[in-house]
Amino acid sequence: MHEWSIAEGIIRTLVSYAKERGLRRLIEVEISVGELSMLDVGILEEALRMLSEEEKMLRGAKFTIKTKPVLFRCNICGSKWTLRDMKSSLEKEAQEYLLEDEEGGLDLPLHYMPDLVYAFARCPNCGSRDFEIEQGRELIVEKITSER
Amino acid sequence: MYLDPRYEMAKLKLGKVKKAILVASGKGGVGKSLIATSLALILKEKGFKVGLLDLDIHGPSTNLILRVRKKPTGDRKGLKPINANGLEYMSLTLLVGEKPLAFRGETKEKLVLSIFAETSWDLLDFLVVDLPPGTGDEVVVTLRLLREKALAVVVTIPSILSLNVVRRLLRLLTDEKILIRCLVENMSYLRYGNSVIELFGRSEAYTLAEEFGIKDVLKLPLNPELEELLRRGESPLLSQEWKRCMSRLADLVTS
Repeated sequence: MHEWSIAEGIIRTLVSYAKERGLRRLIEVEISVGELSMLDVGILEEALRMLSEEEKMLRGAKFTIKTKPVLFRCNICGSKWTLRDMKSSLEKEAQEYLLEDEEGGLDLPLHYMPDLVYAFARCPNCGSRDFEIEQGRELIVEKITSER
Repeated sequence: MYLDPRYEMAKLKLGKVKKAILVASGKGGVGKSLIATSLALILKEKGFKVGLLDLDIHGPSTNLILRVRKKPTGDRKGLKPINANGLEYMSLTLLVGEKPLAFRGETKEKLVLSIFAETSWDLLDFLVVDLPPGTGDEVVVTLRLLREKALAVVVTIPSILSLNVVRRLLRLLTDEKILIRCLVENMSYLRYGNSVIELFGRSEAYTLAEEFGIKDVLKLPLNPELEELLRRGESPLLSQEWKRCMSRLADLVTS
């Protein structure tokens, strides 16, 4: 449910971006969300739509959310793998650490802090914890179309 | 374009924190976590609303001093810190237990940013931050986010090895315009009967403090009673000598 908190952060970021540049209105915003954050894009879209209505310069802006798949690469054996490849082992490793939300739902700690994947994951081929996240960890505003 | 909304999220989450006390050191093993935890506890005893954030992401240990195991819960705002002996408390160990913490480079920066962006502190007079040793990503990101409301307490021991490394940290804090409120020299002396033994020889803490314009130096004893209390799972403030010292430190940071 912290998608609302992220949406609030995005809205504040956009408002401050627009104010710093003297922009009157933001028309279109592209956001890139890495699959690793396990966000519910539907909730994020809804939160952005509702919160943007409260800001004059964002009223009616179109939000596009692009989800980037995760790709890991092992620094020891060179294997590459996706989140899907290790989802069941990840859930098994982290099952004691699920966090309860206000509605009784349970989330992996990665939902809040995607980089915690390093505490729970290992290379599926050689078992090493020395791996890179080549893509899919981001949470960024990538493109803004505006009106002066 | 690369705009990370977590900076604004962190600003919002820290909005109700009046003052941050960064407990930092150049070297590990100088007693920083014990001092940070004790300082947080004594400030709470003095009637302040206090939070404690363990940012030693490779080796968190404040949880061992506080004896906590609870997990934070989530809501629309992010993660709610747990209540630990009357403190609002957050540490990565609450999220990952005893798992290895093999974080590197960009991961450390993003992780520290996420901790600040996701932890919703209540109204706090003081947020005590237990920083990891050195001047790495965790320290730099923390200074970036907290610079407007932070003061630092820098911990060293009298060994020449620690003093030389702590100088780098003091330079960084000075360059970043963070007020260094106090230089704490831990393990400064040992009481043995009626004698006081300076285990590391003559102290250079005052010279160092003068070099950086630090107004106060607090010398703390090497007190074997503390280890006994920790092993029994009891509060370090049960040591009267330690409590007096921490009370003095609390007076300095609140003055």
